[in-house]
Amino acid sequence: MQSKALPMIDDIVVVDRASKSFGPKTALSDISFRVPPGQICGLLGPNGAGKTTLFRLLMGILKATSGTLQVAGLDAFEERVEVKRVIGFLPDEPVFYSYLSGREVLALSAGMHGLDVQEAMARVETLAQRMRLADDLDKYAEEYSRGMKKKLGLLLAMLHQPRLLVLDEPTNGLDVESTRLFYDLVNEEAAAGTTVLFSTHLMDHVARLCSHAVIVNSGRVVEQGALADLAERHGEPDLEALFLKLTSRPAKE
Amino acid sequence: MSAASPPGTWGTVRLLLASARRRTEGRRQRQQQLLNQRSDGKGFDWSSIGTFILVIVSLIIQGCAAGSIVMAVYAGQRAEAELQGRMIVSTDFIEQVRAAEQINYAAPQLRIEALSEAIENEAYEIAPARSDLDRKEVAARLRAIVASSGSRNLVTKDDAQHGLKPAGLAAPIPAFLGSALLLLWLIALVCQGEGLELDLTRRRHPMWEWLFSHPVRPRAVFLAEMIAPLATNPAYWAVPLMVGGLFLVAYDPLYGLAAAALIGVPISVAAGCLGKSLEIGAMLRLPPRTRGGVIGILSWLGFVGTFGPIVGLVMINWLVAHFASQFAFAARLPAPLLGLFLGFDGAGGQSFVRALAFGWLLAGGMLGFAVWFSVRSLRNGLAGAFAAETVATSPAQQVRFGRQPLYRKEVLWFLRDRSAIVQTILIPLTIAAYDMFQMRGVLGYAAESWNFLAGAAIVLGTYMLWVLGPKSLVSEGAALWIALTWPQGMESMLKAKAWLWSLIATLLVAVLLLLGCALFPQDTWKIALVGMGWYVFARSMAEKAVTLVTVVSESGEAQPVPAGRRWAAQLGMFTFAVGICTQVWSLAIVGIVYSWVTAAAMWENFRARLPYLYDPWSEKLPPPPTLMHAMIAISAMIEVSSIIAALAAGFGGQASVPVAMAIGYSASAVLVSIVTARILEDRGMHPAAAWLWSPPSQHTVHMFVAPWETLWRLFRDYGRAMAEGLALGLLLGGFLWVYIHVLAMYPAFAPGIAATHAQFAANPALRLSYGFIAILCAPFAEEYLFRGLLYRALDRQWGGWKAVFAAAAFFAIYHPPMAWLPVGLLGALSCLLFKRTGRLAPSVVLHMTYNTVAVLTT
Repeated sequence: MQSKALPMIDDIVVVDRASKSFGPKTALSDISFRVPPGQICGLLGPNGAGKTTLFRLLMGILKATSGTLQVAGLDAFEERVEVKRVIGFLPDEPVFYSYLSGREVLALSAGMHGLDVQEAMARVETLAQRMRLADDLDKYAEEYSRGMKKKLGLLLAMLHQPRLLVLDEPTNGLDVESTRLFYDLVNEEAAAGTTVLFSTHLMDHVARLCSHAVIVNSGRVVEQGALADLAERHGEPDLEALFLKLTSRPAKE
Repeated sequence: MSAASPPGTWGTVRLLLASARRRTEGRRQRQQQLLNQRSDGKGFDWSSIGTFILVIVSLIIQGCAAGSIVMAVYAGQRAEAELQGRMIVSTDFIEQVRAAEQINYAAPQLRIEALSEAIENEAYEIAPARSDLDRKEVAARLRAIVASSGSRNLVTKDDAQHGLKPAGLAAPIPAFLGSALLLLWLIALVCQGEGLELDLTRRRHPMWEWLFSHPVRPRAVFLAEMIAPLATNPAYWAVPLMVGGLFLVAYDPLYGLAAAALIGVPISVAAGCLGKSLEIGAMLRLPPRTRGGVIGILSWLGFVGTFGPIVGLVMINWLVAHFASQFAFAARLPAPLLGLFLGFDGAGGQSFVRALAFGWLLAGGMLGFAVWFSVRSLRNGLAGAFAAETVATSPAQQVRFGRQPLYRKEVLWFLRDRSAIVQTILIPLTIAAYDMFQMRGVLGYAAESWNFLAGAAIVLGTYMLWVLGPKSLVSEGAALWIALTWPQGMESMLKAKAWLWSLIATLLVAVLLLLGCALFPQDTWKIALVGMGWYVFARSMAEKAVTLVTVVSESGEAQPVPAGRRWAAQLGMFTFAVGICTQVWSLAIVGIVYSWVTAAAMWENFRARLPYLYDPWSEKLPPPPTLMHAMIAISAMIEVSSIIAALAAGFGGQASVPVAMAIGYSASAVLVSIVTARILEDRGMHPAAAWLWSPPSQHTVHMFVAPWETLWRLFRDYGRAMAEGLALGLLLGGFLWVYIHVLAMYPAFAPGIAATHAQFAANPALRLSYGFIAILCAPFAEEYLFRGLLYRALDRQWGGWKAVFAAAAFFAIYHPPMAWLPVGLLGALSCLLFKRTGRLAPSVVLHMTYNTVAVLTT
């Protein structure tokens, strides 16, 4: 048993009192949460709550104004080079080089991660077939539909077999079949020990996938915990009611 | 009537235009807010001044356009006359020739002799206006004409050059030249687009889908889309000036005014609409990868068109004079455009009403075509119907070079993206060529000798890189996120881009240098040396240029690059180019070395900035001392020393110059070292830290009391390291002694060495003052700046032998070329000693010992 005060090094994501402001504008203030390995954690929040900023902080693209963010024991900003080996990232709206085919994007990224390109491509090929993207991999990625781009983005995120998948609105633009496939993939990855942190505003996704959830609003964490207890704790019938209750107004101190 | 009836065509246009105006206004306000925030409300909005300047520039350009058409017509008329064997001369001269004919009509030789003075005088008058003939050639031509046909083939200006009048355009060459320039002007006007914003990443219009989800007519949407940019681009506002100018020359001022309003305005609007419709058509009808290329070429044409008239005004006479015989083919082509535009008929009449009719027809035709073309482009819907493009075969076999994934990516981009050629070659080349045009006085020599041609090639290549570098991330667009998920993604990506840019620029420079080899075959080996120098220089230049990149934020704002940084990126270019032009090879090498070290300095600062590319609020300066600190301090020392020396020499007279230089150098070295140490202390670096290799720990800190005291303490504590410095200094001094004696054996160096010896012998004060700087001042200051600051920073950047070599080379280039070898060795040994012993003092001893030997042996 570990006491709450001690740093739990085993936790793959440790966000401790992190704040981020852009000049006078505060995007995140005093965010703290932890994600243990193998957990599927949903990051919930209305539009503009600061989810994307939080992901960028985790990716080391932005530097926290105060507080610390650690990924697998590494400082998300100071050790951002190492952090990228641990994280696979899927942005909300993935955009690709207009002059490279899907396969070439994957090969390039594999090279940049220092992987054996042949091996990585062979691994991705089976995944692409499951996602029904294999036939389109030789097309220029710019001509992909939104859903296809999302699938290619997911392949890119999983390419280097990261320990942590950070997925920003992963199911946006996916059809029913692909969404179901996505659930299967995420569950398989989690079963294999990969941690998954994803953002969404769709409650049924959270309910079907996650064991834990972090709810943010106006740059603050307003509630977090195991999905099973959350609604109960606040005396709400379900997660959606809880979410509406917590985020309908800007949270107060 | 139902309340929900949609607006008609004109109602829609009005609505959309109003919204466009509000958008422009909103953008302006937002920029003001940002400015206020950055400057604590003390900012001043320069945008209105910017617009004003743009209007003035546009007016000048349009004025030049009118001027160059008029000049082209005149030049064409002269060429026409000369092709027919005639010559344009003054009325006086014709009368003199006629008078001479009356007397000596039978004998051409007598005629020439009698007119010899008149011919010389006439040639003196004519020659300055001719770029193709000098005075003697004009006189020879006059003599030939007078001898063969007397006054028959001499015409006055009024008879041969009717200017912009019906009679003047009757001949084929002026009609062709005038019409061709007018057509070029129209094309440039059509391609003007939204001004100089060459945004090739904007490949589709995000708002169309939304706009067409309303019950509106496509032609209304497109018309509004076409008119909106006219209101914001001053390039279109100035068009009436050009039209008015032409009519002023062809008719009179009143007609000029009328034409400006009645013809200029409609043409301007129609040209703007046509340009926009071409852009719309390209976006709707062309497959994605081609779109960027086509729109890029359109913008490039518009861009060239903006300064084409200025070039035209300066060059047209020269061009026509040199290529007049080539224009003869024009006689077979009908070229009625200019005549029609000005309302001339073939029979010698001119009518403003006819001009008005043609102008309106032209404008109406362009406008009608524009609307028809854009609406027709919508035939296949907004998405277009492109067959999906697939990658033909396995590209691994197609592209063999660039195995490294990032290099391969850049090469694929260059080969596949059809806008790449516009972005990487056309635009930079045009800007570079225009910069060269500004320097044409110097470049006039380029055709005369290999070194000027090579120098011009270097300047052109450098400007090209300077334009390319800051645009490095444009081709990435929003796909930059992929690079951000890679370990070290951005840094290696920008280096890969620098590699591609340097290859492209090298290709261009190689073409020019090969031309040089063809023109000056006997100098091929020198040109080959320049080529090798360029290859080394280009990579460093490209690496400097990519540090000027900016990331466009989500709101579309790009942070402007500070002027100082832009200037620093060019450092070394002029030294290199001037060195080649004047054939001072050592200067060229100085330029290359300087450029390399600047590249390292800029990358050091850039690497510190790079993590905050998206987060400028968190940006921090790199820890002192940076390479830039060292370089600025060293440059300051050289500058200050020459200022002090100049002052001292001013008081002491010519004879005291060597002593003044010595005093200036030592004063400046001490001054700059102290000031630098103070500045670095302000930035958080303890002064003693520069004298130690690793950061001072508790028991190695020495307070910086005075140099001699530091020296004494160090001598007491670290006698062995000091002895090493002494021994190395003596060894190197011995090498210097041998080196000088070997050099003295070569006739090329012997006189210089003998002169130095004589100078020292004649002036004992000189040896004393040299001894003073070389032994007591320079070792402290130079070790502090070149080793304590520069080498330390370089070692952090590159490490190993590369840093030692660069630091030694940078130290050597501040000495006369003859001393480069021994001084470079001194620099290298001093670096190694500093790093090995961990202290700077032994290096000071080494430097002192070496300099003592040097002063004593010379």
